[in-house]
Amino acid sequence: MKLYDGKKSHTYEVNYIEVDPKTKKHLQNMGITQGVKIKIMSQLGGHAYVLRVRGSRVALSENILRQIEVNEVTKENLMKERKY
Amino acid sequence: MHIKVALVGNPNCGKTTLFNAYTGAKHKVGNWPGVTVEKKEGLIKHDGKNITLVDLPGIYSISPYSLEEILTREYILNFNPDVIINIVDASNLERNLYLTLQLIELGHPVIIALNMIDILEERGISVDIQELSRRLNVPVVPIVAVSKQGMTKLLHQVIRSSKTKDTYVPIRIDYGQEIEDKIKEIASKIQLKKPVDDYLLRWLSIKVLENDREILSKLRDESIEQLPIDQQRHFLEEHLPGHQETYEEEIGKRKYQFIEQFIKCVLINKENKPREILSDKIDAIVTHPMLGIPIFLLMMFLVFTFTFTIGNYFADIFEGAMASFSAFVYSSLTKFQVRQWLISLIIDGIIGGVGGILIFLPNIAALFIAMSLLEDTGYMARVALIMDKSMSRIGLNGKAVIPLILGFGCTVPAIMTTRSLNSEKDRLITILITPFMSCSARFPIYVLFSRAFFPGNEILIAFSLYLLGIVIAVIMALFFRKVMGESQNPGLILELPSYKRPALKTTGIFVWEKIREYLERAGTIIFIASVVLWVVLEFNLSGKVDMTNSLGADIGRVIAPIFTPLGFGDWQAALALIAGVLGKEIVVSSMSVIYGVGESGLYAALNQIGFTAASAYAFMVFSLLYTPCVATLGVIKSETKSWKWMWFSLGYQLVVAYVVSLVFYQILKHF
Repeated sequence: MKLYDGKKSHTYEVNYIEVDPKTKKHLQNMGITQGVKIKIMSQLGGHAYVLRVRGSRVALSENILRQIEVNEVTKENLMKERKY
Repeated sequence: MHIKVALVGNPNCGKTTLFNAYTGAKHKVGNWPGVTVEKKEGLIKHDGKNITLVDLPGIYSISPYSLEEILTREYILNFNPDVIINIVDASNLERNLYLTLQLIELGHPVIIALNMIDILEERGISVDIQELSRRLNVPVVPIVAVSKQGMTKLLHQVIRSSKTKDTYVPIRIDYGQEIEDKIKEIASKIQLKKPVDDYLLRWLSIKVLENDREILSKLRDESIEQLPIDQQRHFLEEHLPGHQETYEEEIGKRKYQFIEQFIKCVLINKENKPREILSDKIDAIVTHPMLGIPIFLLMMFLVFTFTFTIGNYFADIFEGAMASFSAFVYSSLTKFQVRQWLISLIIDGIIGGVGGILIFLPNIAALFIAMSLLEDTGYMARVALIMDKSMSRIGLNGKAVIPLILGFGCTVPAIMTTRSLNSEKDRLITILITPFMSCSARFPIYVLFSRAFFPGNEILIAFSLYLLGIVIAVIMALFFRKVMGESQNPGLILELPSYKRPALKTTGIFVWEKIREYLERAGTIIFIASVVLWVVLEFNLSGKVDMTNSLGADIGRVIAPIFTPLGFGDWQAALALIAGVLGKEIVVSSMSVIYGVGESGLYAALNQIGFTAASAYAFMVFSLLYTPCVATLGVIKSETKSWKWMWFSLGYQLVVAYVVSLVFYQILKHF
């Protein structure tokens, strides 16, 4: 699924980022890399989301959200990881 | 011994606050990317050592993707600082350390100045400083930049670290077998004219592997042989064997993984409180899909109401004081039988011209106080987010709204903040439309004319002009977008810093800076312009004459007919507009010099030369839109690195001003 299809307060793990190299580098600088967990904090009417990633708050607009392929991280998985 | 220290850190990490604390507050802190637009230097003495601190722009990384990053990297590579102080925001540790790893890789001694631990502790989290220092093999000094804690300790550490420059052993991140092999392979092929140490060689090799264009071209220039670089060009596209990622991606990912490994040992969550609630709660309201824009408009309304009401209150006091001062000087000069021409120069030229501008100081101070609060609290970054969708309708990124808002203050720094825009085309369009945002220098013109022709409606008139500026900016943005083609708008990527309580001191420093700049302008350019205007209005080439026969009047008369269709085709207006290119407030000082009267007498004077309400409004519209002032033209030249765009701005704004002003006059004159 795309990060754009994610729901508020849910957490997702990034599978693949499809953007151009320059944007990809920019995302990398903000901590958004393959494998990172992202929580959707708020959704501004579908045109931009506020995300929490690596402890910081990052806003991305729709076109970028649609190019980030993610998997949902279920609550159970999150809890399991926290234990370790 | 002289120690060179570079201050490097993420935007919003408190870097500029620290620099101000050391050097005595020479410039301001901002709460959005791209505030420190030029590097600033400060000299401090500690333990008998001279230390030069260089404040570099806030950056997230030292990749070559933005002007700021390139600037910082160039500085470090060319000026070879003895120590790098990396200011790290403890409340955002994981992401901040990504830059730290890149700095360490450069091979210079790095000191981590760990800022904002207090904020972290409020959230019930503590930092194991020893562990952090051990994992990264760099000294870590906790500081609180706002309240100047840890400052002396940090300087001690600077002196200690500067002695280790030649012996410092940075940690080495293991990028995995495949990448490490590649790095070795590349390193063996790089042969430079000037040999470099192993760390820099490794760093250069990593950059080649990352396909870093800047470094590649540097190596091409400095290599003994045209070796490996061209053949490595394909690395960016080349994927790691068996992976989906490119080398560049994988190297970045490994850095983050390195941090992830130890971050949980460094950050100790004592009470398991939720991470940060307040900022998220505020965001839930101010970035609400429905409420966001109304709240933003309300904020802007408050900014202007504050500017007008508070500003005008003090401006009235100033004006009274100025009038008394002028009367006092006049009577004293007369008493001492000073020559009439000198009295005229002092009263009409200097006090009239400079004083006419000084009375607006309270309004300008009020505006900058309000703007500074918007920035320092962190709201400005939200504005970029809230306005992203609206801005995308005119083909621009949400971040472009920040220079536009700052343009209400002064166009020059506003244009400099366009550096944070990633697309060159977007940046150019933003630079070209920012001068239409009504800057504070144009405000005196509105007050002067609306007091004379629209008494009681000054605020409404001024507001209509601010609005007109925005409308024209939007129209021009759409026009440029059509002409230059669609942007490759990569979309919005924006960090939202935590909200901060604005520090009184920070706001004070910023506003004082602005007031000082204004006073300096009044004392230099406006002073000189006023004197020159007085001279050209009192004399012509044959000597002292009546004003209507003066050189100034002749100059005005040459171009005045052009303005006849706009309703103000007299030499006085024409001359004021020419002088106004030096700085738009000079339109007002010229008027004061020409008429040698306070504003109260101006209505009669303007009326006499044929100004009506319609032509007064057309004149204000023209003043708003025409050729930007010389300082703005200068910054357009330096930011676009082209004379072409500077001349273009000059010309096209003149055309826009003429057309819009003509339309307004031709319609309004029928009422």
